[in-house]
Amino acid sequence: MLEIRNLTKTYKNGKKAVDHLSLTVANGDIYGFIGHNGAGKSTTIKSVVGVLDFEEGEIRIDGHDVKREPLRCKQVTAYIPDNPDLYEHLTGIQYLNFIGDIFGVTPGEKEKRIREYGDRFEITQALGDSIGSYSHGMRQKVAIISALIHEPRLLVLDEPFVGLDPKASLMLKETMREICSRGGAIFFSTHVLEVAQKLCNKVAIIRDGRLVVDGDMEKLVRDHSLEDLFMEVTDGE
Amino acid sequence: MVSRKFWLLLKVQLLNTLRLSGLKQKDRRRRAGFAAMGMVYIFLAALIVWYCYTMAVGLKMVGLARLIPLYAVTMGGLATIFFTFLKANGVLFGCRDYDLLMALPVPVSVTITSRFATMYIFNTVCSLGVMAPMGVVYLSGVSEALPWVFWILGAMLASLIPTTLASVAAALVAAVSSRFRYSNIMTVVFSLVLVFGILGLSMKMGMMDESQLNAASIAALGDQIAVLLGRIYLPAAWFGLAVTAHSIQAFAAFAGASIGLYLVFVMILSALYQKIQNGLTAHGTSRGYQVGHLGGRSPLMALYHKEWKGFISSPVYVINMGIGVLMAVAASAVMCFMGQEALLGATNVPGLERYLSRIILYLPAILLSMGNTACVSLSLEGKQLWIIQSLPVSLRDVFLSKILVNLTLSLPGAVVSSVFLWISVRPPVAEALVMFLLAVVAVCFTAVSGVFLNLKFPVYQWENQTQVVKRSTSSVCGIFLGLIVGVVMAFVAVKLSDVPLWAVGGAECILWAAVTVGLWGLLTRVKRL
Repeated sequence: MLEIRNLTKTYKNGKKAVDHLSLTVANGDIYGFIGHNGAGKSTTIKSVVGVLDFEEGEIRIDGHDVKREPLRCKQVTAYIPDNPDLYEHLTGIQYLNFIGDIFGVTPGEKEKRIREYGDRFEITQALGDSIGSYSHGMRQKVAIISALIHEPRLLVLDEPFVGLDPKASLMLKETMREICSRGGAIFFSTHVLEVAQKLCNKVAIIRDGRLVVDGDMEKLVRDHSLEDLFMEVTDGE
Repeated sequence: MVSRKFWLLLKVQLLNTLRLSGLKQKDRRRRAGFAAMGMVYIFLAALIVWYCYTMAVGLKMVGLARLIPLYAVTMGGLATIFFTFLKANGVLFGCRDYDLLMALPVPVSVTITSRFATMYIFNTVCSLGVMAPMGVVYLSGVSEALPWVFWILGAMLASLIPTTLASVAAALVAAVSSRFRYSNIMTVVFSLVLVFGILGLSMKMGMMDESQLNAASIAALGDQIAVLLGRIYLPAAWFGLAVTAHSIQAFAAFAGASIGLYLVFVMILSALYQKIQNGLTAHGTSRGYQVGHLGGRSPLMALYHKEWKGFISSPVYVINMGIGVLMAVAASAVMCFMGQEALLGATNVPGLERYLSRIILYLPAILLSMGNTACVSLSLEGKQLWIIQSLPVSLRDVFLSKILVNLTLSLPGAVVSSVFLWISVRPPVAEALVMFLLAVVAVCFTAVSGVFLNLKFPVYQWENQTQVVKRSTSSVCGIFLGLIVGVVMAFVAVKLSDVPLWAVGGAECILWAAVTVGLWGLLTRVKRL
């Protein structure tokens, strides 16, 4: 579903944020992406979803090149950034309606999915209010629903559990599993290693823009914890 | 300690406002942006200095030199009130860092003072553009030291009262609006009423001067104007008396009023600041929403709808970028109902009546060009830019949605102002058609060039919308580009007085439209933001 080959992103100051990174997320995968602050996680994610341009390498989503066919790639992808800055002048429902229209979701489907996910994340009653009045967690919930409204085949999330209450976190994990059981794929970054260990079937650890470990969670962790593995491969800095 | 905090806040404000950090970077685009903005400012400054200098020379030549100080302070004051009011609301209340500032161990009065000081510094620089050339004319040949001292000190103080008055008006509008549920819309309404009130007053003043000019001898007229200016703006009379009669008491009154009014304002606003802010930022919540029927729109219309809502929900955006359209309609309405003399009196440009019949065709186009919502529309995406970047929408649709919002505002303005002017001037059919087409092409060019300029000079990191709407490169260039093009075209029409007006205007219209299509062609080739 997602193939990253030799991705390299260099910033204007010459620093390589991501250095020849390669990984593959298959259909049905929940792929955890782990690393220190500034390791290159968000840069990789933003390159995948078309927010950032990159100089070297190739990213393919569902077989399509994100540089050559950006709209086809974006049509099957959903992205939630680490900080859900949404349009504050719109109400929650206006924002969801807007996203649904952009993805060409029919009015009936929109209503059904907004009702379903709105109730699941317990935000339906506040959808008539301005996003400017929302707390961080409420914005995160609206961002999550907007990402699910067109039933994406690839869900790319940057720190999705930050700001969510425990119940919403649980709902998000269940939703992620549902998407994968339907054949979708999820690629997400997190600092919560316990969640990653329980939720993901695959994991990649990035350090200074380079991938240091990637593969099946079970094979990599074995009898230890993901935390042990993380400390082991990132302590040699 | 307090003064150190003030200087620190002022430093941050000025760095943010001027975006000086951009100059240190080796980013060619940003440097080009600074250069373009600098050129526009230099052009405007030269225009103001020239206008004030020639006006002062004219007054001196007809023996009314004693009016120069009054004119200097009054003209600078009215302009300061008008322009400061348009931005004061955003600077004082529209700040994203409000929570951060209120959590810091800094008194509210220091926060307000630092924000006020930013406006004061800019206004003083602008005020010097009026005071310096008029001072040069008035003080040449004056050997006594006192008028020089008063003039220099006066130039530093001249913008204090107008800045305070404009801030008071902005604070009042904010305070009243904060009591309504839709405070943003109320801010827009109150602000527009006030802005057009100021414009109407200055127009009335212009007409009063004109009638008195014909009625009295020049010497008596000087006294009448002095009394009139003194009535309009009492501190101007004090300053005039201080400079012309070397009155220390009059200067003390001018300086005392300037500083005193400002101190009272800071004291009162400090007490009410948090209350007003809370009212403005509190959002009405219903918390009883149920998902009902949702309509469907095409991606382009969804983007357009989102863009339009963003425009009407931002007072700073509406007031500053929509005012050109309202002024076009207002000016043409004035001409329609009050005759051309009213406009001539308001503009006070000598000799304008000779060319008015040719220039008037360009008036809607020139004024409508200042209504450029598109030139800041990309920058205003701000931190939400990721949404557009990650959605499956073509950049063509994104640009088009921003252009359509501009046209939604400007096209009705083009129609209405053209009809008003047609009723007022009754030009031949061919000329009336050219006038209408010029207005339509002007608004299309304004919108397309606005997006183009904003693409070249975007500012996505901002603290409040005022920074983008009033002071960014794309904003300054976007407002003046269409205006300058329109003025140049009108100038060409005046110069080619032997050629029929419809032919000159028609040719210019085709050329302008071709440039607009060319710019749109360039926009469609853009691959990413």
